[in-house]
Amino acid sequence: MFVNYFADEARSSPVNLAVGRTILTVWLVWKTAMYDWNEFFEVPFYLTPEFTWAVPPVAPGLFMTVEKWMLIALLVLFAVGYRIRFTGGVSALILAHFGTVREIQNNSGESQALFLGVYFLLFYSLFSETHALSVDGLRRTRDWSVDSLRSFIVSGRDSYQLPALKWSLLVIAMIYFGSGFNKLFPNGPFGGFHAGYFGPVTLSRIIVVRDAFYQWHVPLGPALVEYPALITAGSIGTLVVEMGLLVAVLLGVTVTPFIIGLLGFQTGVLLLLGIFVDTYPLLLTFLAWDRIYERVVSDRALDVVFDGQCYFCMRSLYLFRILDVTDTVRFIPQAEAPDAYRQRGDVDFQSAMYAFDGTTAYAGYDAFRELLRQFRVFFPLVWLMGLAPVARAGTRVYRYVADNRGTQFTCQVESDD
Amino acid sequence: MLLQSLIEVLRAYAGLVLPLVFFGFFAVAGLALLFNRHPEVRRTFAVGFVVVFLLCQVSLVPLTVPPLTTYHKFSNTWDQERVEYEFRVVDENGQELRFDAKSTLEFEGIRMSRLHHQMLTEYSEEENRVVARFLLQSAREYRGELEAGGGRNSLVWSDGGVKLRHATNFPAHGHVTTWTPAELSQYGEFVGLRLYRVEIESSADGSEVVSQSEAVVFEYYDEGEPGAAAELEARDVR
Repeated sequence: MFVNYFADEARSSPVNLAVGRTILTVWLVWKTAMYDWNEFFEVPFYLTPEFTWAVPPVAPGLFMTVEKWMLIALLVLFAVGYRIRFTGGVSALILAHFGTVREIQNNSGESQALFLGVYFLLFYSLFSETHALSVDGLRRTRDWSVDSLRSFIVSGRDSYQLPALKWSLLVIAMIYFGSGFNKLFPNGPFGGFHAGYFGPVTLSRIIVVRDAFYQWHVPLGPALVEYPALITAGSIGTLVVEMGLLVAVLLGVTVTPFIIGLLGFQTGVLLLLGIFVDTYPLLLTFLAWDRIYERVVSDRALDVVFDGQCYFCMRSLYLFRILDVTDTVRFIPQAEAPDAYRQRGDVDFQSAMYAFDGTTAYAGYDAFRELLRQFRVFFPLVWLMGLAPVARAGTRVYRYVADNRGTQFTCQVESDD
Repeated sequence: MLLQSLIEVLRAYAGLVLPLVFFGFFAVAGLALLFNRHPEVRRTFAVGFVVVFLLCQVSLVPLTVPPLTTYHKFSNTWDQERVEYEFRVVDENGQELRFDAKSTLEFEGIRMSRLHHQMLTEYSEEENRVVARFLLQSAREYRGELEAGGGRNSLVWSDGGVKLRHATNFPAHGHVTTWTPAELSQYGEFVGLRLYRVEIESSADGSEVVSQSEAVVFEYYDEGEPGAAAELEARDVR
């Protein structure tokens, strides 16, 4: 269910990395878009003056607001995989700046989570070359020969290395390990061992004192402390999932029980103490999204016949080839098209790309629509492309591109041979 | 111990050391990104980061500075007798309502425990009044927003008075002491602020609170000090 990338960073598709970028972006955009920096600087005192060096000296509210919108724009570009090294790296820097400034007034998990986002962005950017399912991946095909490109479109690739997910898994595992370790050694490794979490007292006290002091309306905590064995199990379970994740990562065994345990633990913290820890999205980046995606895509057999000498045509199929994780689409160069297709009266391979689903031949624009339909996750786009005005415009655009691909786009190039 | 002493020495130069660490980190990260085509660069940065990060997580480096962080939560021992502090706004009828920290900033507001500490140990009486005036004003503004159908945070707990559209806001970090319009409707105009010291004693097995007492340690009223309030309006204790 969850992947231990430390055991093996290779996957049969790069889908998980693309989903990881998307999750990071949605989380960080949603969170940081809510920041009201003008309001932040209306507070007439600084609680942690040590960090005030991070405050812009002039018009800090305006400065940080501009930064916020820059960050959002950069993150959107990062999500689609455009110049990941730059967009991810600069996003990390801005996010760290946000975290530092917020820590002036509040060093809770709300601010600290921003730094976790920084580490993820940095590792995603450090291994920017591995983002195959991205705009950058498509741009890199400029350096491929026509034969390499054709070979990729026809055969795909068996394996993709995803080191960004390996290192970010290690980072999140270390964060939780530190949290567990600190419960056992609250004053550092040489400051004495604390056994409080091996019994019910510590956690029970936290629950009942907070319940007495804070206004939290979920009466679950006080009911649970009636069962010391349950509280003890919860305490020890917390240590096990917090510290066990790193052990599991390093041993290369399954991380699924530990990540599910952490998600449950965080939900428990929300229910018992009213504290929302927003690291859920980070943990979800390690879900085997590629396996879920495999179950979503259509199992119909689709043959796509394309111009095997047209560089532009093949580049436009690059992302589709990667998305075909179940190999249900057979990409066939025109020269190798079966006679059954050649002999049909309703096809003209010289004028367009074709898709065949067994009975119907789809040309050009419709062929692309069928490709998108195959992957199902694009169903809103497929629906949109089916609307009459969109379809008319799309068909014209396709026609123009197809007719001018030799003059307006890089179409014919020398082969390797 | 040696490291702790070193940190104490460096603390005096925090204004120089902290930005150096921050920008130094990103200078190294920037170089690593710039030359990330080389496997040895990627490996060196990743391993170096992980080693430093691990030292911070297990407190071998006893101080973490941005962009490094830890997630050490609920690790301090909670004694049988515990002292907490809390702000309460006071309405014109003398009713008290626990201060909703989200009045000050999104999600969770400023760190109240730190503010309590500063007010009781660091700030002068005048600075405390500036803080109180700010909190009171923030509470009024936030209340106005809530009563007008606005809201800065989505709520996991609501009495139904918070509109569904606010559920699209990013979830707040803390959901305790969350004001709702229905609750606020029971209060008159906010006129003052009190800081309470609350002593909570729990049983030896931690399963119940056996006693709780409280005392006002600071209070502030706009109307009580009209001249002072006007004077403080333009003050800043940063």
